[in-house]
Amino acid sequence: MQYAKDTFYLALRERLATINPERTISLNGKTRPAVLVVENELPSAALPLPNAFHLHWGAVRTVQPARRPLMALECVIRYAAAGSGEAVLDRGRTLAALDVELLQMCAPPRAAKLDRSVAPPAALGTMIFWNTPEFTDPEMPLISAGNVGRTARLSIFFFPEVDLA
Amino acid sequence: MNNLNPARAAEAMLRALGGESVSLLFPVATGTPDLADELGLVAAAVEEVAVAPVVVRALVPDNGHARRELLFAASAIRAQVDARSAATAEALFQSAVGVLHQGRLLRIVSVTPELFAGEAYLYRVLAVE
Repeated sequence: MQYAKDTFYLALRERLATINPERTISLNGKTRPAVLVVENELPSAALPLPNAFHLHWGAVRTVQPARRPLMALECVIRYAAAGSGEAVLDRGRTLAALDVELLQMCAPPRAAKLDRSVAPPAALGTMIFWNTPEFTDPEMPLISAGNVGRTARLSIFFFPEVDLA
Repeated sequence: MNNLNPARAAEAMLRALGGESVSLLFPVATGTPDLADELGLVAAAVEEVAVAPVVVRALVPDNGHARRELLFAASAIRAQVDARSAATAEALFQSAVGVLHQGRLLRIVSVTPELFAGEAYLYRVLAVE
């Protein structure tokens, strides 16, 4: 399951770096694409960050029982747009841009599952795939007064690395 | 009035109230070119920075978790802002992992500056366990 999480996160990270190289965050002294897994980060008052995609892992369920069943892992992606300037009138447009970037990051809806804990990354022989994100109504405020945010949900489908029966 | 006077007065007040020293924990930039830190594969190193004077007030616990209000002298925070090249005091607190007080690690929830003539003389920090 961790391999599926890592693979999905890194797929989004690499795609965002191509789609919009200027969409970056600076966290713990490192500048990187603006997508992060909240549970992998140091707990800090700095989170959540505006104009960045925050991945939260949700429930896991069996989709198709088998000795090695098809599993589904819910992923909740939260992001909020901080407008520019003092009037922050462009929050809506920034949010729309984030929506489009998320859709672009999620296409194609698959990636080869890799073990990224070793170097070089090891192919695990299966793919992970996911459905199109479902967007919720905009939330104001999501992070702080002045930001407009949204939550997107999708399910990631994968086979576990071990037999369960 | 010199804008530094309220800050000095606040610092003196905190010392008179028995201001103690707490440690702010900051992550040490790993500089790792790979992604191990983003995948949670490496334990992030932190450095402790002692800050004084600080007055710590206990608040009503939340679901059994300790809550503390910490009053930091603006002068002490200003020194850390300069030392760590933070943009603002709020950014300094946001970059911290937490506050270490009497062996307890507290997460910073909010930072509120107390202002006089537009200058902060005190920072009111809410931290929870």
